[in-house]
Amino acid sequence: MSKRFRTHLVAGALAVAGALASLSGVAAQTVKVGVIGQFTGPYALAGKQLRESIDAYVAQYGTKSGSQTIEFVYKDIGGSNPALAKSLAEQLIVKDGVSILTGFFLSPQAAAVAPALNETKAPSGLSVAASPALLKMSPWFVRAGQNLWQPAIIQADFAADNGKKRAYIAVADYAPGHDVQEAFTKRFKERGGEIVAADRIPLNTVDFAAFAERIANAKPDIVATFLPNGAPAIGFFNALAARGVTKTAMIIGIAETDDPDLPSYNDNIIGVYTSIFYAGGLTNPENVALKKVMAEKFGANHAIGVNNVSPYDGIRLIYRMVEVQKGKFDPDAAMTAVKGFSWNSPSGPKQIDPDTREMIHNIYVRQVQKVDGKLTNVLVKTYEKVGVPKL
Amino acid sequence: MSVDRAFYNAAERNRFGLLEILFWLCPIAAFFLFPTSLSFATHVLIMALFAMSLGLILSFAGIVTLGHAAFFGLGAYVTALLSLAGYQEPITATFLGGAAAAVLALVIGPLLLRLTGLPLMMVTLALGAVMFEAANKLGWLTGGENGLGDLRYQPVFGIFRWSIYGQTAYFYTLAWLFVLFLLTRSLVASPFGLALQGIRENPLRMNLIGAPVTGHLVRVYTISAFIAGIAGALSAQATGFVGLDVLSVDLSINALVMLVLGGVGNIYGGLVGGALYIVLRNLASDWNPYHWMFVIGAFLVVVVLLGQNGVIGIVERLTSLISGQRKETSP
Amino acid sequence: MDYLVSSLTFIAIYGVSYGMVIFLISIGLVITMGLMRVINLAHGAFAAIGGYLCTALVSSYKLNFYLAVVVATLSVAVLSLIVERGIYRQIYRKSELDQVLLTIGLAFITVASLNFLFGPNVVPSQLPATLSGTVELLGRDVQMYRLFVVAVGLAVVVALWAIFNWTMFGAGLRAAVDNPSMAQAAGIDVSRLFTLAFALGSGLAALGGAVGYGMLPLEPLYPFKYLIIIMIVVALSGFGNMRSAAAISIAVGVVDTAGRYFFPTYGAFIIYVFVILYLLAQIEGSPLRRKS
Repeated sequence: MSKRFRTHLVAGALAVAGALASLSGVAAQTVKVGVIGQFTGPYALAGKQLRESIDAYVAQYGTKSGSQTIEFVYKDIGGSNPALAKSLAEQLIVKDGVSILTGFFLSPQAAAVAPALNETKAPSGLSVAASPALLKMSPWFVRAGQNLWQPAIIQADFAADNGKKRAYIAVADYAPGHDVQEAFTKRFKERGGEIVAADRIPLNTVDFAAFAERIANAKPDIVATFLPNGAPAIGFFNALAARGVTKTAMIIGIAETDDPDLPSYNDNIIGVYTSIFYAGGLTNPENVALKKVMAEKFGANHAIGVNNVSPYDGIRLIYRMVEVQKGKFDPDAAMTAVKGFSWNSPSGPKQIDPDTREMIHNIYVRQVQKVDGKLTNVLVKTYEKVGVPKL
Repeated sequence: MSVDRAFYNAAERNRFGLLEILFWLCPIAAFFLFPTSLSFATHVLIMALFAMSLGLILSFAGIVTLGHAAFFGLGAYVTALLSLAGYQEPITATFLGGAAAAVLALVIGPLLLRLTGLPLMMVTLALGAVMFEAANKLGWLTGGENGLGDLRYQPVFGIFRWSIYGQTAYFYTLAWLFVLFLLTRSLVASPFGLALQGIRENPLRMNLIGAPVTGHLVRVYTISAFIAGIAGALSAQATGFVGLDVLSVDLSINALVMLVLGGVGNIYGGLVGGALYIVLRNLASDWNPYHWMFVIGAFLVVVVLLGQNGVIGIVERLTSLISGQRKETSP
Repeated sequence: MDYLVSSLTFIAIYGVSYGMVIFLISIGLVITMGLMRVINLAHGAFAAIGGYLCTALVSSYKLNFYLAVVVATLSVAVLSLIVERGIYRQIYRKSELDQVLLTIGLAFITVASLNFLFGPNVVPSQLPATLSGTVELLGRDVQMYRLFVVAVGLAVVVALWAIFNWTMFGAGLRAAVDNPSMAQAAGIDVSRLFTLAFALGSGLAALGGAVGYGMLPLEPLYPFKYLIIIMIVVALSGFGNMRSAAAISIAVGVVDTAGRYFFPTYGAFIIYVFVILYLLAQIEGSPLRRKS
């Protein structure tokens, strides 16, 4: 064989090999998504809802996006444990080889994970975590739920729109409560209202009578509140009703009366408003489809709530990130794909702000009423295209 | 479970037994066997250290406290704050965390340790709860619910960098654990250790023979706090994060359970129990935590009623059964 | 001035009713600890079981509330007889650490079982129709329910006083608290007394849990949530001292309510600080010298 022929032969072999290799690169690859959820412990309901939403999305759209297949890897935190969140995230990235993370119910857990994300460049969808400070901590975060300032500002707007002038703020004494207080105060004052007083209720409070008494003494015309679901919210609303505050003032919360939690309340909750990014009664086709899938999989009486919908939106974002992948996972391409992305979700039209990566969406005000003998959140007003203000 | 038995004292024989050497080879083997789980393994070591510190005062000196997490948490926060303030030399940062906890023990010890039984438990429980609430309220200092994150430290000895893969953290923690274990071991073997056992058995008599009971108790309490503080500091450095859970009552009670699991009457009880508890908990992490609670509850009831000295007690019983059998069959 | 009067009446009514609930769930432990010197950290569990049983009877079997309270109380008392015979009897002579560990274990088992049977959520409180209304007292509308709780508490105080001072059982109890071996020597069956006293104490806890569920919501973690408050009452009242327990409970209820009313953010601290200071101040006193 002549030297020249040999060179051509080798070059040809290499070219064929290269073509084959690139073909396999374009052929279906798997992208692993790590889900850090609350599957046991005090927030187990949220973990269940997260799982349901992922299952529902996969039932509707399959596990492929673009040319890639998505595989979910689940890890459980089981409570409020930011240090564990960080270690699980590291395990998922280092040991299990995930490229994207999601889950993140509590904001401190997302905050703890941020440095690990920055070191490994893993895009992360914040399914529920709503702290306003999170997105600045890492350029790899994108919001799938709400920023707590958003519903707080709508609380103020709704109150002002209904002519209320004297507000009493009663929030749980932890970071999310403080965030709500800050945003509500600023907006309500801008709209010409007066903040009569603001109480930060300790999380371990058992008997809310003292707070109901303070509120009643101040005679406000609107009470803005934010409390964790469960015993604190139930106890607080019962105390307000016992003291007669529900008759004299508008009471507006955020997530306390979420549909899955309503059965735990008694009639004391009737008349209470809440402002949040979802309402079960929305009639857009996406919500109808989602409720249908949920009913098929989990029973006709299965109530879905905000902690179903924002993870569902989060999965939509992840599928978008994967859609644009061509071979080995490219985190920068993933983030570019979601910045500015807009779509229709069960909770209305959504858009990711291209600069801040926050969510621009509708915020709904609902009121608890008795419909057909059952406590129901009835949609009262829609505030459209709510972005995140600079506070 | 009887603490009336003579406290197992490895240092009584002035050499390291075979079992002990095997025990300390395990963490080294773990490094090579589980290279991708090192951050978990480091967590195991830290909890073992914390449980050992509790064992020093609880099983050895008889001080029943439900607030030991206060020292762990204080060590963690001090080390974290040092890092955030710019002071990032790791070894001294760890030491200062332990020292802060020791100072706290020194300050409250003299008053606290005059109490005993239920009042002591109440006060330690209340103090732990107060510290937790205070840390929550002082959000500007402790980060409150969000905690203090992104803690960085300089490389150990200037060479070993801290990374997400956790190798430095693992060996750094193991080194501290071994050093503090040697300290505890020699303390247990010393005359001071003997005096502590006397106080546990019969404080009235110790008082009558003129031993400075409260003084001794304060001393051991301080040492135990120092070790717990180091464990907390290591936790801050290894995970790069400190949250309110380092001060929680849960942590104090878990340490108690770890000690019981390993064996209350033994210097290795905390180490074995801590490691076993964390590993078992991780294996059962798919369970509903209420089921886990049931298992732990049942375990506690059984251990107390049957009087087994934890895992180590069971092992000792088995080995004595076997060697007892051998004695009978030999001619 | 108006504000001051209104505040004081609020604290008086709400503080006292809260204190009464605390009294009901704690008095049982004051009696059993006074008599048997057993540190029973599972006491809250009996209160929880009583509460859950009562609400289950009302909601699932449509039983009358007052009847359900009685049934729940008696059932838990019977249950506690079995538990005392089977388990507690074996730890009377064991060390404090052992008692703490075993009773924490029992509490864990109870929490896990309650979660298994009733789910992790709070039991919604539907008060019976007879107690839902309000009554005017001292110029404000007070829930009938709160007055009911106070009435039950007072009834218990009177009943216990009658038992301790007018019955043979009570006399035997007082003797056994003062000097168990002497009582035994005088022919009193001390171990049977222990069993009956334990049933009394646990039954009272169940009564407190059942009657108080409108103020102390029922959830699986109930045994631990209220353990601290129960322990505070017991530690401050001294063993077996019923009058002191009643006074301390009311004091805790009033201090806690007033604290949260006047200083909402720091109110939580006040009760802890109060306890720590009180206990430390006792140091030179006799009940707290090291047990030998």
